[in-house]
Amino acid sequence: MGGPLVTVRGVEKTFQLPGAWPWSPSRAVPAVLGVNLEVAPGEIVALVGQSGSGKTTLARMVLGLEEPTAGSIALEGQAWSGVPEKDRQARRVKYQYVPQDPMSALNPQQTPLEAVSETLRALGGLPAAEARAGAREVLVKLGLEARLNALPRDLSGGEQRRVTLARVLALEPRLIVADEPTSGLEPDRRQAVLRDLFGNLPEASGCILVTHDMSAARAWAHRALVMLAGRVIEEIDLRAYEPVHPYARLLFDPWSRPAPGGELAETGCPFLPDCPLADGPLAERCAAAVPPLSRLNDRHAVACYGAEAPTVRDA
Amino acid sequence: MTRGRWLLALLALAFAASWVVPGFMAEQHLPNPDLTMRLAPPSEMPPFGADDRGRPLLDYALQGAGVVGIPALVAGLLVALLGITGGLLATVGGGRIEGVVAAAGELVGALPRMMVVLVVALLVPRDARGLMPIALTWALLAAPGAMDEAAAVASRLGGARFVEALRAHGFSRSRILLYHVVGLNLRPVVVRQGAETMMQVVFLEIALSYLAIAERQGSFTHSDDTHSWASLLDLGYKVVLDLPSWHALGLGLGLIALVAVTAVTASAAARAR
Amino acid sequence: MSVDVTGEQLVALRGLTVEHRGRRLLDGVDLDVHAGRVTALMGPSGSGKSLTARVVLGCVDTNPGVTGGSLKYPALSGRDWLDGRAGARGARRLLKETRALRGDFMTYAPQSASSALNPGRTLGRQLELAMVRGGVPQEERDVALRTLLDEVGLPARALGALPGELSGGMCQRAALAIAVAPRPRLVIADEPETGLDPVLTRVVTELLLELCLHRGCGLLLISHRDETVDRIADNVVRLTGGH
Repeated sequence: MGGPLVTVRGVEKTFQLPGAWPWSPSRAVPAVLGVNLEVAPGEIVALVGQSGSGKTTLARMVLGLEEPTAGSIALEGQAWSGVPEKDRQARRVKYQYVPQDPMSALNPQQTPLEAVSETLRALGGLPAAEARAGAREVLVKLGLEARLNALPRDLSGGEQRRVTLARVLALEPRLIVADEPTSGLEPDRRQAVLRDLFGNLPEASGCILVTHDMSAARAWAHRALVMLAGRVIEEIDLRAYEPVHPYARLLFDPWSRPAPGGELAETGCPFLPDCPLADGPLAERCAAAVPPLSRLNDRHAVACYGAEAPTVRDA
Repeated sequence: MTRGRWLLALLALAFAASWVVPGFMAEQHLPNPDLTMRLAPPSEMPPFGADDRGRPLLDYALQGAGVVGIPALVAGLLVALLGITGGLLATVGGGRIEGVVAAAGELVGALPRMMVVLVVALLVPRDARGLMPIALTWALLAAPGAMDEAAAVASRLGGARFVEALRAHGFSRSRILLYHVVGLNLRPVVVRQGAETMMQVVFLEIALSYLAIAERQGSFTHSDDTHSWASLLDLGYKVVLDLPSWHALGLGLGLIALVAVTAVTASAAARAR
Repeated sequence: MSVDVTGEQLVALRGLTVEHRGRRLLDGVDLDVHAGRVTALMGPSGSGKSLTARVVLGCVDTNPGVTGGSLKYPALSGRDWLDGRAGARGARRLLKETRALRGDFMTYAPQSASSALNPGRTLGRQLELAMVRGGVPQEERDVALRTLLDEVGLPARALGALPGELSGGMCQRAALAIAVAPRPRLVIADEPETGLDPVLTRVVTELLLELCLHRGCGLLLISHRDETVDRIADNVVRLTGGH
């Protein structure tokens, strides 16, 4: 299959939050605004940004857990968004989700072996004995040999994560969306989790990694999409280039400048209040309209009126 | 699973008793008083001994089982089903529903159950006397508590996030709710509650009937020509006071031993996953 | 508020040894915290950072617990609080005796803000209770409250809000506010950057620093981020599997 795994075109998502009282009007909260994304087979794309940037919402829309209010999403060339759930359910097996909190995805009454066996039986269509053997194999590969028959409550956080990962990998999916898999983990543990995930990724599978761990994005992703206030403000191959957008630079080295105030602009470029580049006539331009994502080269695009030419990373 | 099988066996027994026993239900079907067997101890015949007029105690036991069998079963099932409903509502509905169920549970739990039961018993017309209305009332009084407990178990699973994660995995909604939520998590809780309710209905029946015997009144729970297990208590009580005899003790100790062995076996089986 | 950065020693921990079921979790740990200064406690996961912090708070929850070492709060007295407090009974006594210190002399900001906030109480009430605990005089509380909100960057309407109504970032700030509201001499912050993106981590860290130094508190910061620690710590204690 030569086509892209994931095709996201002009996707937007606005949440309608109910008002404080039953008669109050609901508020429209924009979460994702006009995002385009493509993930090719074998590619790992990182969605990077602070909480509230829209990266999680975008990832959830790719999985079909939320419906976009505008735009379209196609998986492996076939329409995905807007398709009724019963038609999507069978396809879900190939597009898997690794949740942020492993415990909320595991049934506390199922041992790892039972859980992964069930997955292989019910979703993989294998007969019981083969499902069990396959489950055992995956769990052993992830280092859970000693914990096959333990209940989730007796497993450490890292082990629980590996069980959810095993369940996903057992199905040999074409796409894995991992939602902040290293959140809350200490540096030495983060590497282990990412090795477990990427080391066992089937060939020609794609992965979307939602994270705010910059070093992980740099180390493992082919491309990173930096998001702010629902928009992609920079799309960059981190292994080849340094970020150019002032916010992206801050995200990668928070101590490089005085701390930002954190307020985002409602109109124009959202980063304007904290942007070190914007002054004089440039600032007026930034306030007037949201900068579009413009290509600097085929591996780097940035949405900034004041961006300089990209600097190539020293190897 | 062992617990479930035991319960199924007990249920089958209770059910069977109600079907097999109708032949024994009326007093005229008890064998003629055989004074030679008066207060005979348990032996080959009769297996549980005999009463003060030589009638086998086993017949009393079977009649009693017929009285409690189906009502207790129905009450237990009702509580279990309502418990499952409470658990599913909490999974699908979220915190607010759980709050409502908890509040209802507290409200109902504050009611004096025996009073309500007696009121219901008195309201039932005399010729429609039976254990069923009382058993149903008891079940409805116990249901909110069961629903609350099941809701708590269900909400610990993670509610909507849990369902969503499994749906994203590819499981169908019905599989998630029926197998993952009910089958694996709610089942132990509601089975226990159903069993407890069954036991409570049985004890309730014995208590009410014993009261009736002591007051020489007609019972609320069964027709006048049927004996319930309260009669066994009544017999045993008299006999125990009169003579040292092994009848009542034998049956009682046997029951205690049976329950103890069941409990120990079940918990050992549950621990050895 | 007068800022008296005297460098006074608040905590002197020497040779702390803690065992749990035959395993030595901490082996001879030394730790000092001074007023107006930041001590960072670092180490890989499982090395006993949180455990050390809990001992400083007087909470020993392992069995048999502390088997050696001394803990003094020189600013209060010369007493060794661990003296004769080995074993489970000693741990209970230590807990009781240090109760008066917790919330007043020293406060603890846990890893996740949600652990610090009572979901059933408004923020304003929680801050008020914290101040009462810390012995802030009644007439000063209003002003102190407003100053505090200003410093952490919370709007006034946050006072009437329940934690569930505040965003994650605001909860983080609220947790810090509660930690400094009682005017403690010592603040123990347990990995405040956990789960936060890099920018927010920096903001929270700087806020913590500012709050503490402004008030002349000593800060014991548990962290695993080198870049944070390098920038703000005055001295660093590194634990490696217990040492």
